[in-house]
Amino acid sequence: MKNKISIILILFISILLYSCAHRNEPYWDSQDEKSGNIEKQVRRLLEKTKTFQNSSGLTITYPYNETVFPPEITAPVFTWKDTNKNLSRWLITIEFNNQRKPIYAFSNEQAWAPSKSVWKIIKANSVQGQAMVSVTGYTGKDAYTVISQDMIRISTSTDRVDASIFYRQVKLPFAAGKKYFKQIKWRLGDISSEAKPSVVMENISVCASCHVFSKDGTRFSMEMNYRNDSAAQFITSVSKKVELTQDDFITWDDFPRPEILPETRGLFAKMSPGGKYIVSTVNEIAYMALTSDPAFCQLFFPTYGILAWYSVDEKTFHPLPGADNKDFIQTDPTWSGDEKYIAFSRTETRNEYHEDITNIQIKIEDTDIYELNKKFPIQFNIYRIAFNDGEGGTPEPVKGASFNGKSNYFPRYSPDGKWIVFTRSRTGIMLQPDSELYIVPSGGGEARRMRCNRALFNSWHSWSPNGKWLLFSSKVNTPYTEIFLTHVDENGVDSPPVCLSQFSDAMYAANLPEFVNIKPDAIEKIVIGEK
Amino acid sequence: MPREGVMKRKHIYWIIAVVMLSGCGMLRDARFRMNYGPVQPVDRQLGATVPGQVSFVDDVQPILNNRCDVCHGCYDAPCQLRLTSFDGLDRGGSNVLVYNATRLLPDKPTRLFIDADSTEQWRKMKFHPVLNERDQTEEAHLENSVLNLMLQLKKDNPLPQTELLPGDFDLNIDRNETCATAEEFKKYKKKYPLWGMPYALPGLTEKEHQTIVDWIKQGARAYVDVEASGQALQVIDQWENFFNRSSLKQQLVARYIYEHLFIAHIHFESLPDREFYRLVRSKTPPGEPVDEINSVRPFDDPGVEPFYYRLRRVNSTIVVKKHTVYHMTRHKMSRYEELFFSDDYEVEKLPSYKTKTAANPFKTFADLPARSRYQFILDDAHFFVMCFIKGPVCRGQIALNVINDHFFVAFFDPDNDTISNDSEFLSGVSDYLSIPSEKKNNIRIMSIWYEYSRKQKKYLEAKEKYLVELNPDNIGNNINYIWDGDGHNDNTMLTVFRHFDSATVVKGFVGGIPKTGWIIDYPLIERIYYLLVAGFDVFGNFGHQTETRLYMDFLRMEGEKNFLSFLPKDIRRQILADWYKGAKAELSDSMHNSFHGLERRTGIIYETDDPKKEFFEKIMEHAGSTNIFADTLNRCADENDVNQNVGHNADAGVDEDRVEHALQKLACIHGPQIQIVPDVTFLHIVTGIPERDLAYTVVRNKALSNNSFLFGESRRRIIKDDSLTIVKGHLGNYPNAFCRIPVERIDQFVDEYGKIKDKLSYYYFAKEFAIGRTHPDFWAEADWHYRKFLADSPVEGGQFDLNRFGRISEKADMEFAW
Repeated sequence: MKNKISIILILFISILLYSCAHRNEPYWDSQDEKSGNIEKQVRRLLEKTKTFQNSSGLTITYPYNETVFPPEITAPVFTWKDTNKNLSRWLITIEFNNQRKPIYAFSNEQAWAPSKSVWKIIKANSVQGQAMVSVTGYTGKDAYTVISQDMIRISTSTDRVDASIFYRQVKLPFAAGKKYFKQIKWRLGDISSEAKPSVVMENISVCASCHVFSKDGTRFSMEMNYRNDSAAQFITSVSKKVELTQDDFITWDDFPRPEILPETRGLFAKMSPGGKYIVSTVNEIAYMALTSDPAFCQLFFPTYGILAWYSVDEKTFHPLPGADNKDFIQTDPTWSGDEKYIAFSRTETRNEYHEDITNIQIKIEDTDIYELNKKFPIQFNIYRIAFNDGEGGTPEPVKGASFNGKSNYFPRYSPDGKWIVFTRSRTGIMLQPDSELYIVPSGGGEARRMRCNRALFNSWHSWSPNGKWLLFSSKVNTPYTEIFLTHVDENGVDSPPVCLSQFSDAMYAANLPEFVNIKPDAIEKIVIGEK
Repeated sequence: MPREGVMKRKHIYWIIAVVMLSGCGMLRDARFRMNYGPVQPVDRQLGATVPGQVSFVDDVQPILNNRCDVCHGCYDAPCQLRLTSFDGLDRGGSNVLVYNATRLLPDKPTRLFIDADSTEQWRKMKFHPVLNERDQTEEAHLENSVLNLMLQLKKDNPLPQTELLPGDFDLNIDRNETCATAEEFKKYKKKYPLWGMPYALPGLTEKEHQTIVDWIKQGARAYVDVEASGQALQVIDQWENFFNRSSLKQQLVARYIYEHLFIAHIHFESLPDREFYRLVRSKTPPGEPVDEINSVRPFDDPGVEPFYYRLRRVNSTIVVKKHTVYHMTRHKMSRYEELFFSDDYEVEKLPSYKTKTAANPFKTFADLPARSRYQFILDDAHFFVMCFIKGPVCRGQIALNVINDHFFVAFFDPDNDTISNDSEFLSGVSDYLSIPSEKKNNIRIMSIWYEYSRKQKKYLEAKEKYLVELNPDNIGNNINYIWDGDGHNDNTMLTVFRHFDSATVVKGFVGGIPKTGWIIDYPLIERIYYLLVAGFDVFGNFGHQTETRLYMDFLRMEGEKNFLSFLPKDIRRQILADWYKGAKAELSDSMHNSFHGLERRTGIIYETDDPKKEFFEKIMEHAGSTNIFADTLNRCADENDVNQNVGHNADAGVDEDRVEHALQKLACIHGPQIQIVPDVTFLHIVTGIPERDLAYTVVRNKALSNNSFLFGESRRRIIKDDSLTIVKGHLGNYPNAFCRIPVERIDQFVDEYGKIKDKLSYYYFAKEFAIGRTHPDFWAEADWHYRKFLADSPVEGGQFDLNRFGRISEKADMEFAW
């Protein structure tokens, strides 16, 4: 009896394994002379497809048409939506623009994940020219009636990403408090890995947010509440195990602050590419309201603030002349690659949005971001100021990213200093549903809306160290923000993006993603030490 | 355990707690007694100044004047500790509040110099000493003197040298007071280490502190010379004879004058600038020391027969907030003769002091010609309006919100306004002219309000009928119905400013064209005076105070409607609606009274499309040479419409020209940013030559949709209509801020002021120009303003009250720690 049960169990497991092994459905590489039943099925369908006219009802949802993939990326999952009922089978055809013969695959669901080997072939053969991907829906095992079809083109770049991505995962809606903070995860990974990016920091009971790595990847810095100091920030070397101690921390509270102002948190701090300086918004007063919408759960912007900089070597704080004007909000700074310039967002102060600036409350509003935006509009302009070894200068608005009737913010220089990519929306500085990415020559000029923009929320962008790729976040598919990647050529033209789905998690939003010039295993763990 | 047992146990615990607490107090008192002896009154009067010793009058009083009287100067002196005189210091402090809006029963009055004659009597009225009353040793003097302990506490814990005043200090004028005795001081010191004196202000200098300590060590005695000078005695003698003449007419006139001058600081022209007297009722005749009858109100039964009108010297430091100067010029006596004794009329019987009659001047003084009474008031109209502005009634937001922040006042001409002249008519309607003061203290607020609203309505109906009969052609008043000062009197036009919970009145039309105006006739001003001054009891219960406030609504509206009666008929309703915006306000207005007196046409022909403004201008023109307060700083039509007369005053120096040219721009500022700045800011323009330094005041005027209600003022604000008035010199008794500006930075000052839009920008502005409570130069600046004020107004000047001097800001706080 026992033996019988064992046999049945073994059989069952085998079937399961077999099914899993063939989850990716059968495929036929027509380049391969070996064929079988699948070939026959394909050929029969192709015959039917020749005469097929009407392609309604099927849309390939991913990849996007003309998506450019980096060469080292793992296989995506091709997805489509077919509204035709009673369809249960689709043929996926990958045709190449060279002599290489197509690849065919079947799927019983509206998704297909190519195997590693197939994906390798697709990438290799879509470099010189685009590959055409078509999906055909049909019914009837024997009749092969074609019902729907769609096609897209994809290609693979010769430009590698060659960088890891460091990012934060948060539950939604955003909240505060130890219990919430402990659920936040920090991950580090790269796009070539099949495995999910590793968690390098978690279970921290304090808030940690904006972070930057030095250009050479040897140092990194992050805002982190340390010993009840919301203005704390650490600067430390990259290593496998990072154990943070008091010596790693500075506090923006050491910057002189008029008594009337609340404590600063060193808002939107950015370490310079060389790791010598950090620039931040200080002396800020911020407006914050939590909404009833988990996807856009807060309206946040400073209503006052100036820029200050910190010398890592000398351990001193200084205002940045030209960006310390009390009549303006100066915030969201970023460094040019050569550390000669800082681009930042600026607009007139909005302290009137607070009922009483000496008693600022976080608002809990039973409304959505759209209504709040109407009540508290704010539009920023991007300025550029020479750093001048801390002497500052006269800020100049960046033409194309300023005074255009919109809010312009989150500027990021390309590593070669040629471009600035920034976020634009009707209002606000963060978490705006209509936010889109724009690219403008770094000295100002005509700003162009990037192709990579998705339908809902596009922001938190970061350049790869080689300047060929830009990652950003979007909520196009889900309220739980995902990370996307777009290729940018030497003319600043970008491509429809790649979705880095292995960086996503159900119930977690990925935010603050940054390209970092380190290997994905360069950091295994970040902990807060006892001292 | 049975319930009864549990209850019994609880009772026992309570009893034990009470006993323990009482015991603690008793133990503490016993300890003091053991160490310093029992409490007993001390005779602190010296027969003469002792050479070589610290003199109270010469050494101590000046320090108290400049450092303590700024808060401890009047009815709202904290703990009722009045430091404006030795008597006040000797009297000590009390936990009983004078200003108490929740009082169900009236309190016994505690007026210094009036309601008690000795320290023992004050002790019986629950005043505790602030000077040592135990063993007369040096150690006991220091340990038992709250004055010393408070000063020492300040010295030990000086005001933190921070930009902003720490939040530990409560500056609310209605804050809970902690009136610690010497025995309780240890506890006070532990709980409030920063609350030494001066409270929330920099401490005394080392020298000032030591002077007071030395005086206390000496036993805190004083020689205070209260005798009048020989010259003064002559003047007093003359006037006391005038007021104490024997005929019925003379007595009635004397009573009338007394009831109208009882809170005056009378200044006799021939006497020194700082010598003032009060007209009082005394048990003793002229020639003997004054024994003042302490009736609460001037028309109360004196309770003594005979009594005498006497002149009693004011021996306290003059604080400007209650300094109501009445000028007894050398012509005054002959003026009184002319007003009251040249007409042929008889007084057959003196009126009684029964409240029903006495509280109603239209009954009491019916025998005196109405015109004489009116002219008597008009002669010093500014003084009489000042009486209710500076009187005890005028304190607190609810008391003050009966008036607009800024309005003009003019008067009916006594030669033309027959209402004011017609004694018979006024006597006939005297029942309708009675006021709630006759009801004394009660709590039937609503029924009393209803009763007097009906009376007011009847009066207005009677007045309307009278005027219609007088003017059957239905033509109303022309400009000649406005008093022009008879060519010489500058009391023709007044401007009233409200500063949230206090007010000021000045002569002339000062500031931009206000929203409202009042035209006052005799029955109106007499009722206002009796309601707010003669009949007001600051120690009265909440019913009395509320009824006073509510009745004032009627009088305000009557003054406003008198004003409207001069404007074109077809715009009156619209203007009235604009003054009383809001459905509730309209209802309130209709309940108070309807559109009385506003159906007749005006007798004025208007030529512009802004008749209200034109009417004010006509008044100024009509006043002619008596309009000596031409305002060139204000009246900004728009930002570009700079008054070309500013900065071209032939008598002004170059600096003054420059300053006024710059400051004029402030008058053009309107709207939301004004709610950030204080109500009253004193400016000190530093020229480099101290005697040429200049003083100005910036006054904030807050706009309301209406004044109809006691509460909910913040909901009735029309912020976009807020404005500023700039005045040369000092205006207001309670400055909220000081600014010190080098003359070369005056343009920068005006620019920065114009940029203030929130608390933060005000903070940065204040860093540049304000002298706040924590500023090391605070006292120097306060002293400068006081000296300057006295130099500019040697008779009317007095010490400012700093109880409402604000903090620049609270420190910002954010709820969320990231």
